[in-house]
Amino acid sequence: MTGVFSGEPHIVLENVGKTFENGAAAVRGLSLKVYRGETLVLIGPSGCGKTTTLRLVNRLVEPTEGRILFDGENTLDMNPDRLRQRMGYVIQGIGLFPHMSVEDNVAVVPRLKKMPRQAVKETVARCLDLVGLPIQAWGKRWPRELSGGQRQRVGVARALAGDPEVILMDEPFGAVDPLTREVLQDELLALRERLGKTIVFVTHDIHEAMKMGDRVAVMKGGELVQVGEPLALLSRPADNFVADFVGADNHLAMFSFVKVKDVPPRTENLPVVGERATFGEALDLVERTGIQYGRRRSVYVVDASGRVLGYADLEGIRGKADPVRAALKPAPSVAPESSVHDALLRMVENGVINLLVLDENRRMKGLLTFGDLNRLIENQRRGEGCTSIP
Amino acid sequence: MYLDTLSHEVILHLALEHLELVFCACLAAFSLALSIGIWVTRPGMKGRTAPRLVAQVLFLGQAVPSLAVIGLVMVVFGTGAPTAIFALTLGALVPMLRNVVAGLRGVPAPVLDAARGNGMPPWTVLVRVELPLALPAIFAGIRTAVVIAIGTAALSSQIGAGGLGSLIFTGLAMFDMPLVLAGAIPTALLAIAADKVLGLAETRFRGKW
Repeated sequence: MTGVFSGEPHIVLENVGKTFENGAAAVRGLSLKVYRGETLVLIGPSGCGKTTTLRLVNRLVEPTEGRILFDGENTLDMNPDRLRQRMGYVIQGIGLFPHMSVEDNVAVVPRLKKMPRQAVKETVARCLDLVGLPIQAWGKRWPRELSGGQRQRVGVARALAGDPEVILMDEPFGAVDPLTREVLQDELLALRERLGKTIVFVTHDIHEAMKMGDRVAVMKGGELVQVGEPLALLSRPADNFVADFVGADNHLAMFSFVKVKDVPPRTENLPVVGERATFGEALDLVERTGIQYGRRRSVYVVDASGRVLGYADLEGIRGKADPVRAALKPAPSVAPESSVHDALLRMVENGVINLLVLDENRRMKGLLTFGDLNRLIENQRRGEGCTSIP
Repeated sequence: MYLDTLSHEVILHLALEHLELVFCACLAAFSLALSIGIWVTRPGMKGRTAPRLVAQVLFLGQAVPSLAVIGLVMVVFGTGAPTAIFALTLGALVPMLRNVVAGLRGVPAPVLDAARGNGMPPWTVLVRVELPLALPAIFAGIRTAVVIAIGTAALSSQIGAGGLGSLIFTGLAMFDMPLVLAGAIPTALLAIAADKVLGLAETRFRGKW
């Protein structure tokens, strides 16, 4: 978690209400601040007004009461199209323009902003790169040729292309399969870390909310029930509705949003050897680390520059003088930004109880052990929460 | 027989006259259909009287036979090519407008949402998103309308507007079957050709998406 955001709020909703022409009140008396650089998740059961709230921010829906300030300015005083060009917008599923190629889809906002031709081209290439769809391979494709996950990535690229100050996302990953959703969520978290944009994110999936949100706003019947950091909602739910909704009685719930780097993984006394080490040296090291192993003891092997090459299983029948390199296998790993939930999944998939934590350059950030996770659950049960959140 | 003296030039001349009637009428009908279609599908028009009125007129328009339309218009405007063009325009307007409206209404809501939500002004949404997506439906309307208009234009010789219809009706009056065929066959060929040409144009316009 990035901690508490403060300072000048980026978006302020002051006592905002929306009553539709048929008399139905979608949102009532909503006051909410979104701080610069934070991800605020709006969540609630269907019909709770979360999507309407999002659309109020970019004026796709006009408020009937109260006011909305963006960067200190009343949005009703601004040109709606200009306002929307300053806010990226990602919607569920099929929001791509089917008659435009991938690159033309992404180029929409830069062209609206009258960017020069060459700059548009560069922006499109950069944004497609950010979402892992290089323009050379994907730029000329049609939306119908893409998978659900790829379409969603193009949607994110399109929202980023206008270099918006804020990104509004309405259930952006609602229409893709669970595996792809996990991947897209991780990609968005990584992007967020790099770009530092303010994000307002609507979802009905509490795990997604806990994972993506710096703060989560729970809505019900058009009203805001509680807003706070994920752990605060779990440990101090405002009422039974919030408690039920976030699953406060479920000790595993926090696995979805506690990040690996916040456990934290151990960084000292690790079974790591250089690529020239022998089995004898490796076995000695393993005896000294005091880390528990499953059925097979193993060491992690790094090259001279500190990049992890893999792991070596020490249970094979080998001479003590043989180099560990001979038994090298790819090692299962997680990123520091991954959720504990994902780490646990990776452990089960690979049948290991210790998991490498690697940064994007394959440098070792530590080792996450099953014992550490066990301790996390124990702490949670005793109400102490996770170490890094006060 | 009359047909013996009928040169190719005469048939060609009449066919061109025929096409001229159809072209003028369809051009007028298309401009009207497009304007009205766009007007009634604007977001602000939802629930207003105009779209309902247009729907009713469309329904009536479909029900009235074209010959009756020509007759009615003649009562007001008298005979001649302008009357025929006016009547043909009314006839072509119905399928065109119906398809323009259907095409524009058929643009998926999330796509419109994305267009507005990304800051496209209303005019840009229309030109860059709605019309391209409605193009197949609009073209289908044009094809239907043009083919119907070519058929109906044969009737307009009855009010002195010329066209291939004059051969058909003269032939019928004189019990001269070859003369009837000299008018009917080119009319049919014109209709088929127009349908094919417009089909090709549609593929060309539509692009590969």
